[in-house]
Amino acid sequence: MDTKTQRYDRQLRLWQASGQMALESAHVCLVNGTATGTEILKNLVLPGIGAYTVVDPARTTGADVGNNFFLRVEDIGEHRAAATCALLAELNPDVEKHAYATHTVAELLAPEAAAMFDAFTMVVAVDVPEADLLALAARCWQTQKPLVVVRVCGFFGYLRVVGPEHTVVDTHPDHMADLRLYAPFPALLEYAARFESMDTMSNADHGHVPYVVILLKYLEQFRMKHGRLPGNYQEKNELKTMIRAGMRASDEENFHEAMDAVLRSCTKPEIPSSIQALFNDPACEQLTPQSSNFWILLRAMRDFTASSQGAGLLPLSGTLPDMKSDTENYVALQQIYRQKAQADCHAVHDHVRQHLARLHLPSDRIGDEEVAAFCKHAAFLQVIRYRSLADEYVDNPPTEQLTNELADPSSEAIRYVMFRAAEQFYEQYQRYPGKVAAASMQHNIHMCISIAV
Amino acid sequence: MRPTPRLDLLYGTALLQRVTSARVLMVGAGGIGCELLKNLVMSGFRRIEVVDLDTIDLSNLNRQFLFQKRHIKLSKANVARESALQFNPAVDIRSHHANIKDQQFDVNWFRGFDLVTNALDNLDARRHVNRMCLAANVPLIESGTAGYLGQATVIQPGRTECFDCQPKPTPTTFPICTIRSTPTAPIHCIVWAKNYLYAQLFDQPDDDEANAVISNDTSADNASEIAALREEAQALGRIRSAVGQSDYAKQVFQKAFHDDIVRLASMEEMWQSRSPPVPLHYDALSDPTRTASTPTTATSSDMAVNEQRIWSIGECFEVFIASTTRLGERLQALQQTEPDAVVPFDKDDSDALDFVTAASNLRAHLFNIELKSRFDVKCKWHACMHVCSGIILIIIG
Repeated sequence: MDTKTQRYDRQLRLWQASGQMALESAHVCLVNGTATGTEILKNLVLPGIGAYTVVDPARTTGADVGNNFFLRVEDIGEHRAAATCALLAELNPDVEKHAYATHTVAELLAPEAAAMFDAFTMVVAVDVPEADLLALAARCWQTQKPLVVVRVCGFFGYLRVVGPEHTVVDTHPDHMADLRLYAPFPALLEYAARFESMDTMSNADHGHVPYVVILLKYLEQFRMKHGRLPGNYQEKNELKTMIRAGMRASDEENFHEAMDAVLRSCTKPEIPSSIQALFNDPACEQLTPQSSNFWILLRAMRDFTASSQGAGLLPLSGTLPDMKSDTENYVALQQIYRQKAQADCHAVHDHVRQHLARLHLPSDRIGDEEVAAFCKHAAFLQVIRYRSLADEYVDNPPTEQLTNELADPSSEAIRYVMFRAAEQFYEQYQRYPGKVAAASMQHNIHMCISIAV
Repeated sequence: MRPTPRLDLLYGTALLQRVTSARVLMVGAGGIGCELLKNLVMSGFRRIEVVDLDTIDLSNLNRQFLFQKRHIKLSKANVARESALQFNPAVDIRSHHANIKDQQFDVNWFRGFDLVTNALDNLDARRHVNRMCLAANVPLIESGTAGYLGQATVIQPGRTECFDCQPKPTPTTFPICTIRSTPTAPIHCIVWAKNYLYAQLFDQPDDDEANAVISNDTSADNASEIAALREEAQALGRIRSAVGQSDYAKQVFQKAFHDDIVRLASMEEMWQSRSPPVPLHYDALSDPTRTASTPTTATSSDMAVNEQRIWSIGECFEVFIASTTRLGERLQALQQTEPDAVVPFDKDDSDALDFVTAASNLRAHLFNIELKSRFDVKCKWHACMHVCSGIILIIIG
């Protein structure tokens, strides 16, 4: 095991190599190296983010040193960007760093800085005044970069993620197995037929029949009896009773596994409604050369489900859970699911190539591995879309919702209103409320209230 | 001198006074501990004691940010103290590179704190601190993380339920060092015999096991110990290739019950609060006069009795040598046709069960742990099939 794997061992168990790769190819821009800002970067630098940039026009003050772990007394008077950058770098020698001490948000958004800005994969803006923030948010939105807005005041904090669209392929689902018991494909039926003589098997063999085969056998018996497969809870319990009756001894583990799997695995396979909704999304309907790989893959998958091979189902994940069986039978069964998954994956890839050709995009833009990962997680794909900041703050503020919320004195909405009011205050007076002597506090509060109202 | 942030604005004077004068104990300086120590220092606490028995490992550095590469192998408690002091030298931090269960940390010592915080990674120590805090009547903040999840609870003697008021499930996985270096229960010896020794010699060695990377216990993050354990496993792998030699079983015995034990016993810091294992000597046990009078179990026709009866150490030795030899012969025979052949563990395989029973009892004997019958081992087996496989609690600050 190399030192890098050793260093990241614990986290790799959480997000796998794919997650680590995403992290290592990210370049995060932090606007303002405040205590909260550096805390956020610390938590990204430690697990090995690719690169970070601190953009901060401020020079370090005594107050900064008092609350920021990543500033030292000798940094007072120095550029806060350079100082925090240097101390954060000590956390992980693998991480690249940049400090842009003199950049204000306006300079960051200027055309001359475009090349730098384009290199960012994500922007974190801490305590950025609202006018600057809206300009930054507009630019991030337009360039499809996620923006994380953070504000802190005493014990309170505000966090808002902004981004037009975030697509997730590997959502690390708990159970990926799709056994296709209600729609067994030919190879699976062929395999199950090998166990037709189950009743005359030796006890040892009988106790090692994989539970998938047991379920298929009793599902067939159920169908012979009722003319259909079990649908509701009661019918599934009847299926369980039939399986129990087929046991030779009360401790036949494989039969217990079969009964345990009835409720989970005996369902009609169908396209989940969340995926169906994505199929109907305009981004899937109308592919353009600008479409992301996610949408091209999704469209190819939709074409697949409509084809004769897909037969209305998503490509098979190909994952087989552990079960009581002898090794030979288990491996054979695993191969059958895997081969079907591979065949589905190839078919999806063909549709991908057709779309790429139609869009005049290079056919190798989406590779085998990407298609395979997409197919494997087909039932668990996710698309997250956020409202733009301009929409929330300016165009369609949630006035009605806030009014309702504020009627409840214990509502947390008051914090939201106060954070926003403090920003409005800043826009008017170029300073935050509470930053002057106590005598004018009362006045400040009144001003905030009038702004909020 | 570092400027003080305006904590009075945040706390008010009365609370600030309590915070600055409070004596806080932090048990554990790992993932949670590093974050907690930083937050305590940043939020105005000025009298802190840190206890951790562990040393820093490379795999800690992705989250335990008070530590850097140059600190590897040093005490977590001491380095955490130094790093935090750099931030604020005015705070009084005391560190103990020690086990919280040691005698020195008695109830009286606990009484000296206004607040105890647990930043631990194992049930045993959590229970211990919980009991000490109840006895000393000190409030405890208990915390833990697993994967993306975490929790924190306040335990105040007499006012809230305590840590053990709700029964906790016993973990079904064991830290690698418990299995490989410091077993305390029969099950640890059984897991060692089956998952490590048997697997290394006759079955497919579990890579994680061999490389000793799986652990949810900070004491396993001890870099030098892990390296030594890895070497041990590799040396055993070399003995595996000696299968077929006339003294094969003797080589295995020497390695597992003498050489490795001598090394373990020499690690003094491990045995400060428990007695070190005593190595076994092949020649003493293989005394021919004694052998003659001992019925060898595996070949005895009186199997049913031997199943339930606990074997003597002499018998364990006999059975170990006999089963190792037989398993070696079987492995060699299989390898004639298939070079990569293994003898997979099967609890119904008499040789395999003999081997695991004998090996685990010999180990239990070394560590002063209760011996188990062959039948017990067979039953235990069912309950702990997946020990030392997948697992893991990952602590992220």
